[in-house]
Amino acid sequence: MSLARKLVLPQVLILGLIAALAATQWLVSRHERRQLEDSTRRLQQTGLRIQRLAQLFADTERDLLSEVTTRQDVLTRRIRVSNEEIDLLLDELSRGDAVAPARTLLEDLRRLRGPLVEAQRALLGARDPARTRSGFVRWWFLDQRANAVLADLSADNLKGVDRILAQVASTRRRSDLLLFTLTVICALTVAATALYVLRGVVAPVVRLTAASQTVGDGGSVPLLAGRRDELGALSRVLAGTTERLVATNAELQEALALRERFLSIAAHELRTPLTSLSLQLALIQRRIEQGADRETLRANGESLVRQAHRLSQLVGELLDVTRIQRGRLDLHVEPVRLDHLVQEVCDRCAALLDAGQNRLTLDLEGEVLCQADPSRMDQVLVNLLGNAARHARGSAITVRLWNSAHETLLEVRDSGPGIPETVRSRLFEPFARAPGAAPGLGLGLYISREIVEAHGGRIDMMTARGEGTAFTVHLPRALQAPSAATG
Amino acid sequence: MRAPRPAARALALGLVLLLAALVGCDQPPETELGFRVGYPDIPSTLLLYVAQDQRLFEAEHLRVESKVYATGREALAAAIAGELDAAAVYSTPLVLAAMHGEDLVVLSTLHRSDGLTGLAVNPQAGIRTAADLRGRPIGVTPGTSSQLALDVVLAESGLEPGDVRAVPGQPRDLMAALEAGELDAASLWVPNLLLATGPGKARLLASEVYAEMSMLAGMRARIESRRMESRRFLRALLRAQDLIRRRPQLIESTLRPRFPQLAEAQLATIVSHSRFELGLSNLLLSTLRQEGAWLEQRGEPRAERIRFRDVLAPGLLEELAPESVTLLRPPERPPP
Repeated sequence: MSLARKLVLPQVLILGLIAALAATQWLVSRHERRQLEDSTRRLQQTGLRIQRLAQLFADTERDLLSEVTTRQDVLTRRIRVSNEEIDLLLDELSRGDAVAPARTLLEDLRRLRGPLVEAQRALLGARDPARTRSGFVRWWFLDQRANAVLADLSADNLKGVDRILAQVASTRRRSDLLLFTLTVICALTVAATALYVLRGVVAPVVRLTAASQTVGDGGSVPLLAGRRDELGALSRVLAGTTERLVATNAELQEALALRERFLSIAAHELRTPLTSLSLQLALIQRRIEQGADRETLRANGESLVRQAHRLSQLVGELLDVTRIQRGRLDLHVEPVRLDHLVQEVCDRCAALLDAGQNRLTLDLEGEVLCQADPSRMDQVLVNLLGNAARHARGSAITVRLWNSAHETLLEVRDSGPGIPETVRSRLFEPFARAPGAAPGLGLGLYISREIVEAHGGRIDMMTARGEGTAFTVHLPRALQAPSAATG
Repeated sequence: MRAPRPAARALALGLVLLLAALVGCDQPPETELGFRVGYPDIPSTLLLYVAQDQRLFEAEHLRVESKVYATGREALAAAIAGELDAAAVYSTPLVLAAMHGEDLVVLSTLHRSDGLTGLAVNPQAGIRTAADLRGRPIGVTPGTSSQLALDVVLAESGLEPGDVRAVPGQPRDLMAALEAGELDAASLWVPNLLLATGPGKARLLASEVYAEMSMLAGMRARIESRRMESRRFLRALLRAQDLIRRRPQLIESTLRPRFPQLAEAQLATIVSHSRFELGLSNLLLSTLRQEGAWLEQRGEPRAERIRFRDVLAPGLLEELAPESVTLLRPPERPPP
């Protein structure tokens, strides 16, 4: 769930709860009002009917006693009309939604009505004192009971107010409980939301901020594990960026260290031939002043040329390293007769090999074609032969060239002492030099490897203590024979 | 999963403890109280029987000692003598005692019925209507509702109490005398009235206008000093009333083993003519006043001017079941 949704949902929930609170309050108020209105109206109607009943009871009693006393028969009709209205009112009351004890009282009253009316008639019809007296007793008993029940009915109706108040109080209690529950839920939701925002949003942001401030000192930004929201994404982005920054920083540090090392070695290596060159020049100058002969000066001049060549070679290697590290090693690839090229380089290096008392053996397949930069391949082979001559003086050197199914292979093998184990792992690194090695920048193998790899090939090295070393150049084999191969 | 923080744990623990305290905070157990009640062994005391049978008094932690008397008048006399906390009694003995100056209170009615007190007439006496009672020996239990029932029957026929020869006696004695032909009629109440009448037995002669009410009454000071006991007693009776409203068959199953001498039809008659309800009503007040007037007319001495409204004590019942009290409240008296 996104952070925005996580933050918005609790707010919506709280709003919903507040709306529920308001709606509950409104509904309860409306219900209470209606309950009060309905019940009050019903009570009023019942009360009015009971009041009318009481009035009719009193009228009937007065009319009956007047009629019995005066015997004028004028009130008999009025009594009958009153009785009809009483029965009508009782019917109306009985049709209502009366509950116990009102229902019971109404039943009692209706049950008394028959005997009471009968007693009234008997009393009205009695014409002698004995019958009048006995009729009166019967009527009186029934009438006072009916009046008492009517009074109870009236009292019960008045108590209806208490019942309504009890109902309203009960409703109020329930609604209060509901409102309290909703309020508690609302408060808990607010508290939970605040806690969530503090722990789920603010705290991670604070952690990310604090961690970000330590990045400059080598610290890292922690990943917010398990979070799939915006903060999780932010932490991942920050962690990735930090990781890249650290790696870049390490590369920069390494590049700086390499540059310092490069400058130190280059200065040292360039200084040696330059010193030698300036000594030679001073010697020539002195010999010219002493009137040295031509042969002596020629020998000194040759030495100067070698030193200059050596300087040129060093500068070339440094330029190659710069090009390689800038990715600007340009190749002029063309079809090359590699067998011719190898033969030519070996012929050119014969003097060097002779100087090292190395015995060179060539084992070249004929017509070995290759897509390559001939000058760079020349450089590679010169490097390999030079390495063999320097590190395996007096040993046999074998140069082999052949085609396999997919590759063209060039091997330079010597039978020298082999390469020490401590050097093997960084043999192809720039400025790598074996202990006690001849002077040099230690860039030959590095440049050779870069040149071969720029051709899409590789260089393998096999060496064994006391058994010699073999460097094998693997080049992709040219599929089509060039019409006019260089070499 | 991360462990909850100490503050959250403490809050949760507090809530749990609060909840447990609220749940466990029940009413303290009530101590058992005692209550002594006396009553005549008649169907009108059904609510007492139901409360006993259904162990409703025990449920109220009330140990009820009950004592059966021949009449409600005797039970009331025991209450007046301080032997009982309350007595089940009909209206006549109560009014009579009040007129004699006893400071009684009525806690509630127990039942009301009509047609269940009347005359058992000897079939060989040649009495067809109430008017034929003139000059006849009629058994009556003085100071009870049988006396009032007889007077009402006589009045309905235009006779005075002095027009018949009243023979006083306890109901059992009156029944025996009636059966022996020594009495032409006897004024009785159930179950004796129904046992004495029927095919081959005495004929029933009852007034349609006379209705009787039984009630629970006691001495005011005793009731007030035992308010808690009286309250529990009334609450048990109210539960009994609720029970028989919900299970009307409980009436017959309660009465049947107590009155095995009654036939099924007789029991049905009693049930159909009775209403077993607690209450304090204007009808009761009217009945007491009416009986007071009648007794006064018969020459019963009256200690002082009686306010029957003061005899009715609606407080306890109104607390427990307000709907059962329909008595109109008198206006507040000004302080002396």
